[in-house]
Amino acid sequence: MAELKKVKLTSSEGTEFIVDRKVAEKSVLLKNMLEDVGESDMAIPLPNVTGPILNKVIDYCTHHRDDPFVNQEDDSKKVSDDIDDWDAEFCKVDQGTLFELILSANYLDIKPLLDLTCKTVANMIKGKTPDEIRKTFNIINDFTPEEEEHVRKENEWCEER
Amino acid sequence: MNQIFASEYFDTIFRYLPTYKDLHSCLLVNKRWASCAIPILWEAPFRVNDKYISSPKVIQTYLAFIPDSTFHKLGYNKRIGLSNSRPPFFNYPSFLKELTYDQFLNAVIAIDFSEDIIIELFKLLAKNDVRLRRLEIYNCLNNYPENLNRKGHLVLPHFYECTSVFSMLTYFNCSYRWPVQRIQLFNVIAKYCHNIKILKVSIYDKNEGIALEGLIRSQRNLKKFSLVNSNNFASFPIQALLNQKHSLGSLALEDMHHSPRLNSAKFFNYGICQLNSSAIDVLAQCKNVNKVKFKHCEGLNSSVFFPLANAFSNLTSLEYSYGTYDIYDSATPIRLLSDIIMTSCNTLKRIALDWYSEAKLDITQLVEIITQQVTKLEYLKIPLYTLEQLALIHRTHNQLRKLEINMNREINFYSALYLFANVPLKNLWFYFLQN
Repeated sequence: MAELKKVKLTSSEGTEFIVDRKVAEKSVLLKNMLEDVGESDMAIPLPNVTGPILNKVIDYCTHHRDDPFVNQEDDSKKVSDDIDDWDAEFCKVDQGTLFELILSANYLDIKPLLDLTCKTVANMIKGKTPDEIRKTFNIINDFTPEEEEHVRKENEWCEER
Repeated sequence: MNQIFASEYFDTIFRYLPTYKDLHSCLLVNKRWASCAIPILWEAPFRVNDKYISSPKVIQTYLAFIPDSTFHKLGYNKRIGLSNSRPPFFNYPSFLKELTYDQFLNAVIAIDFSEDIIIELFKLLAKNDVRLRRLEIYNCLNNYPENLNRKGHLVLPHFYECTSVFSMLTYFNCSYRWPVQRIQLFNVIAKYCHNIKILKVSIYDKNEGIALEGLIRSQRNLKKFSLVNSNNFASFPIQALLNQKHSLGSLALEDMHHSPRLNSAKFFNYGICQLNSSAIDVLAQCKNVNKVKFKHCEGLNSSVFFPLANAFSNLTSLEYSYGTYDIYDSATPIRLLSDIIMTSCNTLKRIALDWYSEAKLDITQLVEIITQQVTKLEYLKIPLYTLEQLALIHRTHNQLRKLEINMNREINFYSALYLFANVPLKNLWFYFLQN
């Protein structure tokens, strides 16, 4: 049996991770880099991704290593309630980790992970009032009462939908 | 969260929110969230669905951008819409990307159907450098009282003058009866827009056909083309598809019998919707077409289908339907469909066949081809007449994601249910054919 090709990745703190090339190639950024450099034992530095987050990303890519590439049409309706059990469990993390996963998924260009994490945040927003959203994400309201009323009036039509 | 994410992240997250109400909540969280939610909320305020129609309140906010002096000039003694005592918080009209003209008209009618006001709104869009991505013009003639329609038509040439608004269109749907200014609209779009990817249109005379021909030729990369209700004039635009043969992936001919009363079509011996040999030749050159739809095209016969069956050899989707009336020769579509399906049997993933013929059609051979030859089928919709045909379909269920069966009433429903009792298909639908 042919030996699986491995790839070395280094997180922002210098921690080294060795993963199957197929797993690494779930990231379009890494796939392109690997194609450019060809065969090499050099570790690929990922200065924007911390060790714990890289670990989570590798978990995700390993679980989804055999998923086909899905090219979603831009105009197709996006839904947030189609998350499977493993992915839902994967996203049960604190907000800081979830946000870092979003940033890393974007940096590494892993579209399914970016979609999953953004859907998870959308699900945290869904059905909440502005005040509940502020509390959920610890956000300060910088509208004055007059400004808020003004914006509400200008966008009154959305409340009917 | 505010500090961590750039606007693009908010945009991705917000687009997963299912309702405008959720977006409206985001809008009121704080100024940063508002600035990210507004472009999404206001890109398609006239988009409708089964539950909602467009709201006149959208227009009221737009009117806040029209100065008092304009209202005075137009003879109003006071302004209408929202007060503009302070400038609006955002430049709402500038975010418009999708316009359904009928819904826009609906919203305006609910406030004040002054032609001048509508013209001012058109000017407002042009002034704010609006570049639409999608434009849909439906059947305004049928929806409104005649006097409103007349006014709706009168103002349209003013809309066409806002040429920059059309320059970025990728989707254009003008597929219903609307005989007055279609030529002018086609000419404007042909001149100023070259990016349309999805085009759905109908034409009612030769001149409209010529204008549409020009519109098609002016596009760089047309991917989907649907011609609706265009009958004898279909050949004109179809010949223009030669320019798009490398990019065209989807072709649809819909409702080509023209008259909803097919008895009159019968009178013409189904001679309507004939494509001339040049048009058929052009279609046969569009080798990248992988999705075809023929809906109510009873006039099309073997002269069209045979060349297409040979040319379109990599179809992934085939839709064919006809209406409640007898077709001229019930054997014809079965034979032709069998040929088309056989030619693409290694690539077809979706087959949707739909008809309501009173005649009992012998489709066993067609069913055999589908079940034995089409190896990648994921979706199947088909009318069936016997339990044997149903049993043949049953053998393919493992590979299907969705199966819809239109059953002849002669098939015992309980036998059908029994046959599929252990099938774990999540999407299995049974209907009954009308007879």
